[in-house]
Amino acid sequence: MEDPRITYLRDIGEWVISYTAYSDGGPLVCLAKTKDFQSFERLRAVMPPENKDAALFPARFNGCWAMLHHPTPAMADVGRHIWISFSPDLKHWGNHQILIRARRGGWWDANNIGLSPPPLHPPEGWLILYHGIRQTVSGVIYRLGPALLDLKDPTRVLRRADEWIFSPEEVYERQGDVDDVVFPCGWTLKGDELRLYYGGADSCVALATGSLKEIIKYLRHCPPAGRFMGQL
Amino acid sequence: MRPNIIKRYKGNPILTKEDVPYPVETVHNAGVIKHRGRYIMLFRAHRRNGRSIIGLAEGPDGFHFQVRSEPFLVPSTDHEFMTYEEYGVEDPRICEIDGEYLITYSAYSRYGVRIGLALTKDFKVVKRLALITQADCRNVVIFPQKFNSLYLRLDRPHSGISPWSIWLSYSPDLIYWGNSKLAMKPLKYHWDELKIGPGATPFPTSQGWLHIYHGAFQTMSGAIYRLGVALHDPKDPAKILGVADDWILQPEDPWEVTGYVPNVVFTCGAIPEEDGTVKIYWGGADRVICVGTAQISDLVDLCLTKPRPPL
Repeated sequence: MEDPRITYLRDIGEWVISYTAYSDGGPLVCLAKTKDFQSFERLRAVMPPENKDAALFPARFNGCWAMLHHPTPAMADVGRHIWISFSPDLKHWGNHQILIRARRGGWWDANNIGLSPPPLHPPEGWLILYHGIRQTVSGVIYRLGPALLDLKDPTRVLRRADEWIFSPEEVYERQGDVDDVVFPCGWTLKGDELRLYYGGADSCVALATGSLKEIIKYLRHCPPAGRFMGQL
Repeated sequence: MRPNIIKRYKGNPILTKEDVPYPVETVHNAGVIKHRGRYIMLFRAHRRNGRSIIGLAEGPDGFHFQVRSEPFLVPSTDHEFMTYEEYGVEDPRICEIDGEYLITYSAYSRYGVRIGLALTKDFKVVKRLALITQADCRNVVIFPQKFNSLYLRLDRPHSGISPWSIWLSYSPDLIYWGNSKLAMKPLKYHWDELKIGPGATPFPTSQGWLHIYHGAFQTMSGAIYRLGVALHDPKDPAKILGVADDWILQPEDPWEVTGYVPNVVFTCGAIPEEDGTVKIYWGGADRVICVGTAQISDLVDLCLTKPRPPL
C-alpha cells in the first residue's frame, strides 16, 4: 500500500483515504473510509491497473463524488495525464475523462503528470497541485505546479501555471532512495498559510509553507486555460 | 490424428472485404447475436487510412451474411466521445440483456485505447451511453445477466509491469463500475503466456458460464494468437471452475496464418444453439471472418478434466 491521500467528506462525516494498492497485476486505486483513524472500512479497488495518485474532492457535483487520478496507459507516446471520474456511491466510478494533459516537448511537466495532495477550496476555485516528471538522461526530476479548477464544475480548468513552484533543492530532496523528488500527498490551510507535507527523495518527510494568496495571485496572472491545457 | 474440438466451417472465410459495399481493406473481430431469428454480426473493418470502423452484416443461418450498405458505427462527432475515438472504433462485443443489446467497443485515440458502451434495440438506431474505462483497456465483455442486481463485465486493463490479464468489475447502472478484481492470468511458458483477454460474450451452460478468450505467445517471428476456454461459477462468475490447459483453436488455414496481421485467430462472439453446439466466430489474421462449431459439452469437459490454474 502506497501514497495515501486523505479527504474529509462532510456530508457523510467520514474521512476517505485513497491509496495505491500494489497488486500482482500492477498498481491500482483503492479507497478506505474511517471515522476515527482507529478502524477502517475498505471500499475495495475502484480503478483497475495501472492507476495511481488518486484523491477525492470533499464535495459532490450534481450528486456525484469526484476523484482525480493518474492512469498509466501501456501504449507508447500517449502521455500520462490527470483524469477525473465521478461516482454516486464511492464504490462505482465512471464518466472518466482527461482533465489536465501532460505537455509535450521540453517542459518540466512533459509526458507524465499526476495529482499530488487532494484539491483545496479557496473561494476562487479548486486549487490543485500536481507533480510533473521530467525525464533526463541521468534520471527523473519531480517538480510541483499549481492549477485552478472551476468550483461548480471541476472538469473546467480555469488556470494552469507554466512554471513549477516547488522543486528539489535541499540535500534531503536531491539525494535519497530516489534522487530529485519532492512528492506531497497532503497539505493543510490555516489562515493564509499553506503547509505542504512532502516526501524528500523518497527517504524522509519534509514540510514547506507558502501563502495561499500568493499562489492564487500567481495563477491569476497565468493565461486562461481551455479544455485539454497544454495541447500542442 | 485427434480431431479439432472446433470444427471449421467448410465455407470459410465467411466474410471478406469483397463482401462489403464500401471501401475497406479488412473485415475481422466480429460480435454476433441472434435477433428476431436472424444472425446479426458487427464486424471491425480497416479503412484505407488504417483506422477502423464497425460494419453490420446479417443472415438467416449463422454462416451466410449480407453486409448492410452503410457502416454501423464510425468515430463519433459528439464532443464527449470524439476526442477518444479519433483513431477509430474497434472489436465490438454484443450482449443481450433485458431485451436490449449492449455493444462494448474499443475507442482508440492519441490518449490510448479505452472502452465505449453503446445501446441498440433494433440494430438500426444506436446510442452511445458512456466511455466506461480509462486508458489503456480493451476487450470488455458484459455478462448477459445481473448478479446480486449488479452488471458484471470482464476487463483487460493494460500494465507495463504485469502480463496483461483478465479482470472483473461490477456496476449497478452500466455507467459507474467498481470492485475490480483479477480473475485470470497468463501462465508462464504456456500458449497464452504473453497476454490474455476476454473474447466472446460468456454464455450459460448447465455447469456454469463458458467464456472463450484469446491468448498470445511471443515467438522469434511475432506473436501467435489462439483461443482458449474457461468455465465460471454459474452464480458467482468471479469464481473460476476451470480453465482448459489446451488451446481450442490456433491459426491453421491459410487466411489465418497470413493476412493483415499474421497468425491470429481472435474472437468477439459465440452463439450457443439449442442442439448443444456453439457457433464461434473469429477474425483470421485480422483480415477475414471465419466460423466454426463445437459441442458445448466438449468445451465444458475440457475446462474440468484438463485444467490449468487460473492465477
